[in-house]
Amino acid sequence: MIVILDSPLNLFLLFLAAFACFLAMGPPASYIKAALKIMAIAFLATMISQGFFYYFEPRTPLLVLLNKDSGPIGRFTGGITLYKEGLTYGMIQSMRLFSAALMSMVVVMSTYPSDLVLGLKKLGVPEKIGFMLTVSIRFLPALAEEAKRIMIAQRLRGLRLKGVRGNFKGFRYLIIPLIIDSLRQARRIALAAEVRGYTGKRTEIRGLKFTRLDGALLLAAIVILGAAIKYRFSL
Amino acid sequence: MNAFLISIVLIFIFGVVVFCVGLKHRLIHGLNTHDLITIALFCSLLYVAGLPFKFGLSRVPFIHTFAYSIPFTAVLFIGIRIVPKMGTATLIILGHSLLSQLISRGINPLWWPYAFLAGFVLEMYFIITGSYLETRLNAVCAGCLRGLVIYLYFYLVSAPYIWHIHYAPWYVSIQTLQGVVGSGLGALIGFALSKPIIKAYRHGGI
Amino acid sequence: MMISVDNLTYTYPEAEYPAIENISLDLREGELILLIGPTGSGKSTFLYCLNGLIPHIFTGDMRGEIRVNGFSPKETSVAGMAKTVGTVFQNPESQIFMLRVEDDVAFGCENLMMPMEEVIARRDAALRDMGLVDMRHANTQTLSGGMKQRLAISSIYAMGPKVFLFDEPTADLDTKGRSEFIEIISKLKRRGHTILLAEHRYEDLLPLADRVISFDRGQVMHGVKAGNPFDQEMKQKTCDTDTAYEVELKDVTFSYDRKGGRKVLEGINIAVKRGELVAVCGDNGSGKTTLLKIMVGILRPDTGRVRVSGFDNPAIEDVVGRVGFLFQNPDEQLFTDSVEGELMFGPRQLGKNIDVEQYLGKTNLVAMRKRHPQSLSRGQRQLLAVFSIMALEPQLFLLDEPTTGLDDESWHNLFGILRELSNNGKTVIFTTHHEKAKKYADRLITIDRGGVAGSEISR
Repeated sequence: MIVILDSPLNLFLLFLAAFACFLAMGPPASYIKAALKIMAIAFLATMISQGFFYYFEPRTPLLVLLNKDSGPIGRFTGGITLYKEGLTYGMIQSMRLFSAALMSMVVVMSTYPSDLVLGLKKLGVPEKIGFMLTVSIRFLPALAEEAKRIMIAQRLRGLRLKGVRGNFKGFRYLIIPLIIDSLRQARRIALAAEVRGYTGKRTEIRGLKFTRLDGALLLAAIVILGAAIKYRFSL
Repeated sequence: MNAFLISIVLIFIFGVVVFCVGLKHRLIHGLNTHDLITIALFCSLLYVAGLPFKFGLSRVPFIHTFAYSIPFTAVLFIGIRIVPKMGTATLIILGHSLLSQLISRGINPLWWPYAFLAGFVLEMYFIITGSYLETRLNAVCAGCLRGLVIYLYFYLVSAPYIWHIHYAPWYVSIQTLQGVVGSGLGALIGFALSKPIIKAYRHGGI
Repeated sequence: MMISVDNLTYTYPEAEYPAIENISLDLREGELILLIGPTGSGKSTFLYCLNGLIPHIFTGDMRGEIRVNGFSPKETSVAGMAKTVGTVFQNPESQIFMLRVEDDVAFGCENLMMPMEEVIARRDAALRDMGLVDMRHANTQTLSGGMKQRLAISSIYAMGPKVFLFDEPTADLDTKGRSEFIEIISKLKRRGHTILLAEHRYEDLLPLADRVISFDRGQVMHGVKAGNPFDQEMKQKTCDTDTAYEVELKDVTFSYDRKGGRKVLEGINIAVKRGELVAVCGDNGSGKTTLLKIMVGILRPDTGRVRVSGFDNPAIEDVVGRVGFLFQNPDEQLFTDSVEGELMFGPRQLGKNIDVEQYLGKTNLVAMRKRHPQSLSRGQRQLLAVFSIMALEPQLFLLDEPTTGLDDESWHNLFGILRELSNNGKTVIFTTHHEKAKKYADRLITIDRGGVAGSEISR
């Protein structure tokens, strides 16, 4: 496999560029905060986990948590040691991951969901699955709102949820009415679809066309990639 | 050739085998419009059931696997009991995966084999055992099997090849164990919860 | 004859009695026919026989002959019938499939496999004729209830059917939505379509109707029912001036988006005395539901003071047990495994003991005490939801659009219960957009675009 960007600095720059694109989409503040929180946790977790799990050579141990011969846990795990290269590796992979994830999120945030489904269909996804996805996307916000309402109604009847047992109770009391109501809704939706002549096949009037702008962007991407590969190999 | 590409080919072959066996046993009844829409809503339900786990609640990486697999398997199995036909499991799992990708994570075909595998494993299990979660035992085994296959595949194939993140064997076994137990537990919970739902369905309240 | 029905009898699968029996009718093209009758009388079943849903989707035993514009629903598939017969159901939410308005209008035509140019032409014509051109690119989830129903009708209209079937189309709409709907019906009639309209409240539709067919227990009755037997007067009361206030709102404002979003409520000053039965009226979007949510503590006002049942600016946990809240959809509030369990749930959480038998008797559900709440009929579920909150014996009872989806008999039952509560010194506040509901209350508070537009004694 060809790896183009390898150093932490380069990858950090790439990450900043991707993050900038993400911010350019104008997500709400809570979304940004949540994304940053998740990335921070994932970054630390990856660094630490890869620090412990690094198995390529060479590797320099920084800290030995558990020796491989000390007790049953030691023998089972083969020793838990923190490696310097592992930490670096974890950092690099996180940056790479985040850049890719942010860019795909940008695609999803900047495109209308129905157009995304259309794109999927052009890639070969069958019509029935596309229809299913459209229905799922269409009714997701309503379901989320209903879940909220059900939980509030339960609190108003005195339901108090505490701790782990509370979570199980709460789940049960939420999911049964939510699913039953969804099943009722499903029957109504199915009737409405039947009455609109749904058979699984239809003429699609909204098409996606490959315009000149698409062609130009694709060309630019290929050129940049080619230049980057050449640059990498000339080092 | 690396393990990831090999696994894609294997999963594809697996899918074809499942399809052919299903044809032979005349299990492919086809899903009508009502079934498709029920499945579509279950994809959304699965997403909603997983929401508390995405932001903050149980993001502690160690027990996250256990905590997430319980509601996921529960809702999934309720859906399968409501539409006990071949293809339901695969469509719910695949639909949910695509839905998450479309809404937040971004479309990434590299994750599709994972979803297909999850579906095919369950379909094969149902064909072999001849029952779509009709008994508790069937459900628990299906859940544990799902947990086993999925988490092993994730830690041994998906994570190393898509994310380039490796895990030590002992960690993989702990997580997989969590996955197995969590999915089994979720299966039992889903089975229990599905009873009043199906009862209400039958009495025409729906 | 556009529609001819000969000796039609249909029994749902696993049912003991036929839902409709020996119906014979001839309906002419261009007529507007009103179908009236209580819930379960067979109106919807009859409609479903005309568009093919019976017998193709609802199996069961269908006998007799039907011809609609020459087609037989028994022999033609539902999709085949869809070219001639269009159906609009009660719930607009479940009839919209796409995210963009114009995509949803085209959905039906696309399914009929019409060529692309025809689909586009029909879609544009429907947008024009139904008055949706300005909103063609709008997101369907942002539409009001009336607009959603209009979209549902447009998507059927674009398919070009000769016959339109409407199954309780305005039950979920407010006054504005209903009047918009009547406009659309008039337009369709002028264009010569044959229309069958099944409705509970039909007085304002009578001028448009060419024929009225009344259903009762699966059979067609002849002769129009004179008025509504449940239109009786309910004794109202006025409170003495020195009764304490149960609810007081002073200078309350509220908006969902703190940073300069539209103010949902502004300058609200309301006082409700203990024991009053108050109706909060206004169209959808006027802020009346938000008002109720503030009273119970689900939402906190941006400014102003709220005093409820002795609590200042309460949170939900403060008022549990003192304030009961009924959401619009009763199904979202039934979550235990049995009818008696549902009634006992609230009190049990609060450590109270109640006489379950008494409540079971009032709901008429003694025989079904072990049944799962979600397996009851719509009217029974509504009643159970109301009583499971009453079992908490709250001092203040708030209901959000409690009449949604109820037939006349259930209306009367419900308001009888509320009247009794009020006579016993409990305070009841409900929101409604129905003209008829207003006369059950002692006082009317009208909310218009976030402000109090009037507070008057109900006449």
